[in-house]
Amino acid sequence: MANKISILVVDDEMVIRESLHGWLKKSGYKVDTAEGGSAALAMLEKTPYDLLFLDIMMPVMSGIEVLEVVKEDYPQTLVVMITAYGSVETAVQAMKIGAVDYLMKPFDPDQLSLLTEKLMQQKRIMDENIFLREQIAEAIRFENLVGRSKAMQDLFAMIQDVAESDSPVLITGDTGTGKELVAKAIHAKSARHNGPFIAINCGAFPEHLLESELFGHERGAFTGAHRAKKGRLDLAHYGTLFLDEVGTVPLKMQVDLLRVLETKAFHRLGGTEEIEVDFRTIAATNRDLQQAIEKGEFRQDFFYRLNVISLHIPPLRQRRDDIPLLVEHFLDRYSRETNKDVDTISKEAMDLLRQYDWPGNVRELENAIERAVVICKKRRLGPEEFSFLAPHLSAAAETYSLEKTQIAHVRKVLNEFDWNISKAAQALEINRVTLHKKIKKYDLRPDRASN
Amino acid sequence: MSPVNTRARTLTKYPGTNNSTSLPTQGVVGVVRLGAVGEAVLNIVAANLQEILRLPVDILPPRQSPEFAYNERRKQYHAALILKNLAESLRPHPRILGLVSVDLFIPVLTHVFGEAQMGGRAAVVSLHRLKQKEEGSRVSLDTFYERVVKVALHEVAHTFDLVHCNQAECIMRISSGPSDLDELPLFFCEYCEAFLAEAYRRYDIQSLPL
Repeated sequence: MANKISILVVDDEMVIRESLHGWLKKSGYKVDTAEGGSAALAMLEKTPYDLLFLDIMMPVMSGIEVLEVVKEDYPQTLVVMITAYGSVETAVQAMKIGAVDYLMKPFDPDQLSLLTEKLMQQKRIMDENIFLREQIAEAIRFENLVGRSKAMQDLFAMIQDVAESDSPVLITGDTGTGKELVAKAIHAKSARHNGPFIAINCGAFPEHLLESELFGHERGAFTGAHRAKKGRLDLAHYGTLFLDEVGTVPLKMQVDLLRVLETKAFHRLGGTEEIEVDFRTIAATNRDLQQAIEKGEFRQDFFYRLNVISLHIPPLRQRRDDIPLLVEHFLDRYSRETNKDVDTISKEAMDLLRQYDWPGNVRELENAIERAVVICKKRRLGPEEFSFLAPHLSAAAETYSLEKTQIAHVRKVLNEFDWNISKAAQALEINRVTLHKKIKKYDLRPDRASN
Repeated sequence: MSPVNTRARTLTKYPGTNNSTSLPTQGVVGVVRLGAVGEAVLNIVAANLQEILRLPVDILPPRQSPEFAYNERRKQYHAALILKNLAESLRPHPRILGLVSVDLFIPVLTHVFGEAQMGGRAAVVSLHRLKQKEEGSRVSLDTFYERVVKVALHEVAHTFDLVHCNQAECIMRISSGPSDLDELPLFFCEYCEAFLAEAYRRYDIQSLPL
């Protein structure tokens, strides 16, 4: 019966607006009208119209100009151009920009009803596409991890393989890349998935508290130990123990932990009873443990025990192709969680997000989207919602100097490839010697954001 | 009168309506011809509206051709102006249907067979394009009458808020030309029947017993 398709008629002539409005209403569509381009764009900011009937010849803002904005910011909205002059060139231009069809005023009723039928079919196909996209989303989402880049797809495959074994895993990656999510995914896919997933952030506790958190204690073991407490090692029985920020574990405790990992038995603090446990260990760090070993801050035997299988999560700046997908994922989540009708992002804003280096990785991107959704007053996120990122954007964007631009660009590429000179030179399409010369000339050094 | 509410409905050619000459105006729908429209087609439209819509229909005294709605540039008659005039000048029927022989248009379309005020009082049907086949030859009188009745039913139903229907077998399905009109049945689908009954209740209109 009545279609739930919503239509916006944009024409500067009132009689045309009213008469098309009346005709479309008779077909049960939800119809609104706008007398000009800016009014239409303001309405689109609030309402997700399925279809726009858009007059080409309008004062102030032409239909083509409106079409360009619509196709860029609201690509899901279908646009049919209306022309009174039968100007084929303009209509062809409109079709190239993305209009689905055009009609010459006055329309033949047969043509209009056939077109409407065609568009309804197109809408149905679009709905089907959304369904298919959801199915694809399953494929690009592994547990709670999102990514279609090769790096992430390789990681998903690796997680699947790793989950089947019971060997210890060491996950490396910058802060905010999602190391705990990877650990949880391994646990969820493993035979231990019915057991507990016990996480502890080793960097969050001073030494004596970390010991008590891990091993537990008996009553009276130390001042303030009024009753016995189970440690995380105990709690992880039959499950997975996730040691986050393992690089911060003090040397003495590394010895104790190594013994537990080897014997699968331990004593609570102040206790004499040996407790046997059965768990799988997954550790994570953003430190370069090899370097820490060289400095004598990390035990080599403990490292080997943890690093039976190693997984590396690339930083977001090395998988920029995943940014739109992640943005969509977080936008969907936060528009639902905040109960706000923010369902799209402008191209400019997306470009800005792709350009940004994301030192805080996926976590920083997630926070940025949440913050933008909260402050957004329309249904589309624009660059203004991300102004808090602006000071951190590449300095190159603020200068016209060729040399400064070159320095910033070379630095950016080097950081992207973790200062791997061969890969950076390849990306810059120059040879390694030239890159070395530039590094020396401009006195470039690795910054903190890169490893 | 032939049996009402049957799916195998055929055109009722024998009027059973309230003729203004014999009965006072008490019906729900008043049917009026504007200009050169034959009495036979008027009677047939009135009889079929009464039978299919189950509403008492009155035939109103004829009026002049709606020259006030003529558009010099389009060489056609503006349907919305005729509707406005019918709604303002004819009382007290809750619904008015005008029949005209001139060609109708609305500004956005090249022509219309009929037009109605959605949820309003007035509807109008043009006989102009219903007499011919697409290639120009004339259709039989029966086909012509049937087309006029179908457009009339469709337009009057719009005044009861009915919208176009996707069901293949329904008078509210949108037709894309006169021959497409010939394919339409002379009845409403069960959904539109239900919507119509609901509209009668909403507008506090008493329909005739089945």
